[in-house]
Amino acid sequence: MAVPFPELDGDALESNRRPESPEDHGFNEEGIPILPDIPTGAHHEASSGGLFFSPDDTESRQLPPSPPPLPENTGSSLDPPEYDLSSEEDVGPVVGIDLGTTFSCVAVWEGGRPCVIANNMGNRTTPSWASFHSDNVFVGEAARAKASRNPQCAVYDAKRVIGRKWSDTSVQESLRLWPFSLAEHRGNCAFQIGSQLYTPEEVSAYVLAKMKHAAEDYLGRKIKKAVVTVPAYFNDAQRQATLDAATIADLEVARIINEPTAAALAYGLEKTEGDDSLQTLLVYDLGGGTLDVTILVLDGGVFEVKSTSGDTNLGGQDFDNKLVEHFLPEVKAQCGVDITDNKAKAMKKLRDACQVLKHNLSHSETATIEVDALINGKDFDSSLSREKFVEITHSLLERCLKPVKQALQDARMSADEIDEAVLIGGSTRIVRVQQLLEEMFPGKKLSKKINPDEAVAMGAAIQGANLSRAYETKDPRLVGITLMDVTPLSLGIELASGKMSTIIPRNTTIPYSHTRVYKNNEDYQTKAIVEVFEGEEKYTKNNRLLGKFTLPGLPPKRRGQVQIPISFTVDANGVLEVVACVSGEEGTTKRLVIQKDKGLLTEDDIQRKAKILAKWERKCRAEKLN
Amino acid sequence: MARDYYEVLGVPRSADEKEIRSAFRKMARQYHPDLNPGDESAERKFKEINEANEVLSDPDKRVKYNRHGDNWMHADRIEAQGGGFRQGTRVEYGFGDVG
Repeated sequence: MAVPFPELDGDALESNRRPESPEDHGFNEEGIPILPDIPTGAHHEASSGGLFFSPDDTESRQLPPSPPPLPENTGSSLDPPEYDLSSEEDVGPVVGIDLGTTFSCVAVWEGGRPCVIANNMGNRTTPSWASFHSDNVFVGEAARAKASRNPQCAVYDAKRVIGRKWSDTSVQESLRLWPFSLAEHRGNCAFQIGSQLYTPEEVSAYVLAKMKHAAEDYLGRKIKKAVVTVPAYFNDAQRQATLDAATIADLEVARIINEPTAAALAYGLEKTEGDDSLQTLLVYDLGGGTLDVTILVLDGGVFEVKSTSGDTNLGGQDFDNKLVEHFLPEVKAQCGVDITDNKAKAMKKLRDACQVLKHNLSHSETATIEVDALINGKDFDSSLSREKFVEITHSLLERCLKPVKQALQDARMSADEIDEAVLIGGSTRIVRVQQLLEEMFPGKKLSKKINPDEAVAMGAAIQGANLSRAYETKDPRLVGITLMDVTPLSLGIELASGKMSTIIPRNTTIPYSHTRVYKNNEDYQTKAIVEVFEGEEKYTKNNRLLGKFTLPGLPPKRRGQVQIPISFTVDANGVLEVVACVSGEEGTTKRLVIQKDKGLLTEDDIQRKAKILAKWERKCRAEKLN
Repeated sequence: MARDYYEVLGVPRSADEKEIRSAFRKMARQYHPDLNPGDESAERKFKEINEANEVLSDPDKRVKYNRHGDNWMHADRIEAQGGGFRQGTRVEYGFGDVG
């Protein structure tokens, strides 16, 4: 043992050597890399950005008074839930839920295969929409139907704002085109309907609850657990917010898994049957709001993710936006009105028509757009060629291959080492996107074998079955299925120089544990502030603060004479735990679990909203709504 | 002192990249925490093979590891200085890895 680290337990000590190149750190020119001793609060922007670790920081954790609960007439004479709770041990099946930007899908492992569950309308995917009215909340198809009459009451795209700051450029850019109002909510985003605010977590919770209902109706029993998917490139705040949404919907999340990894699981399970050969897949997932690219190796039941990359703000909706923008001047010319000017109904009609046009362009070279009575009783007609579509969406198409190149580079692979490119997500139906991938992987087949809308939920169901022990004895098809994912973003701490010192680089297979030793920056400093960041930028001010804590008890010694080992452990759920202590000083160990504390909602908020949801669920069951 | 990475993965020092990766996956299938819920020794073992694989399956890191063992991470600096570390120098660079 080179350095004493008495406070750490044996586990951390065993396995904490971590490969990484010294160049990453910029230590050479810096001399001694160190921990800053900075007066609390007087630090850079990021630390005032509202992450909530310090125990005395409770004030900033409070959300403003949350929107009033659902109207009280949500029923006092409600029937009890239809389904019996089985015995304590029997937690039931773990369903897989793909919580999508535009559509969601739920699946369960049944009869030796993942099975997609249709909702009460008979549809295998459900629009990720919620519509808030004085007497009820509608979700899915019902919400979208309500939107035609009351567009300002219906919201979607919660996934595009969940876990994001109001100031986020992508949020600001989308504002103009959303028919609903988004408001700032203590630096975060919230949907505004009338005078009420709804957080994206809450909206997602309604969608999750609807998916849960579908599964409960199908299986005839209560569902408590789910594997929920997120884009691979989601950061920690977005993942945490998704977990909070699940809690509000009374779902215990067995595991958050990355969407492309889930899709690969669904694809690979079909593929590996009787085929043990090693295969390298690239999963290209272009959905409604996000692009994810993941490279993984399949080897006899082991799914090893090599690298993952993405663009959390590129998806079908962006293509719709471009089309809407393209047609707006024509609308003005034909109808004589600027419909961006508070004409939510007309905007929705135009957007829907643009979507249909986009879909049609996946089958034909030219498509028409026809909207009856778009505004003031005037119709709108136009058409678009595929060529023109490519021109309009040029800036988006240019971004489509960037993550592919990054993922290849990170996996240290060339395009010809990819055996197959698997396309999922509805937007991979765009012809030009397919062409770009064909050009990138010449001679390789683009696999469209699995249903692009359902693969993610199916993969989540496979992992759900894999993780559930109480429900079924292990299905023979699942034996040996092992999923090894990676950290999407680098994790590290801030040095006194303001530079990021990476402790776990991106694309490291998890679970993983690693320790580095730091030293005091100033003579006789008595405490050190440990600030934990995620991101790839050299300076932490450009990365995202995950949390911070102060390590007291440094013995008064000259600069560089105190050793501070800091260990990072990421578990299979991607949860990061940071442990720091002062070498040789008893009782100085500080631990920080980057989870739970740092969602944007407080525990109180979550509990209160969970109650509202539970009430709503009972009402839906009793009145057969939604 | 950590165990030798080759020993951890049970491969000879002459093993090629393919053998190393395949040995890792085989062991991962045995020790991955998902397959051994609640078993801390399996998780510890997984982290160990994971770390060995991270170094040995990367040609650059492997060369450095072969040459410098546990100090592989500081290989560039060692080579620039034309020699190895003196006892205890590692921390004077301000960081080191607990082995």
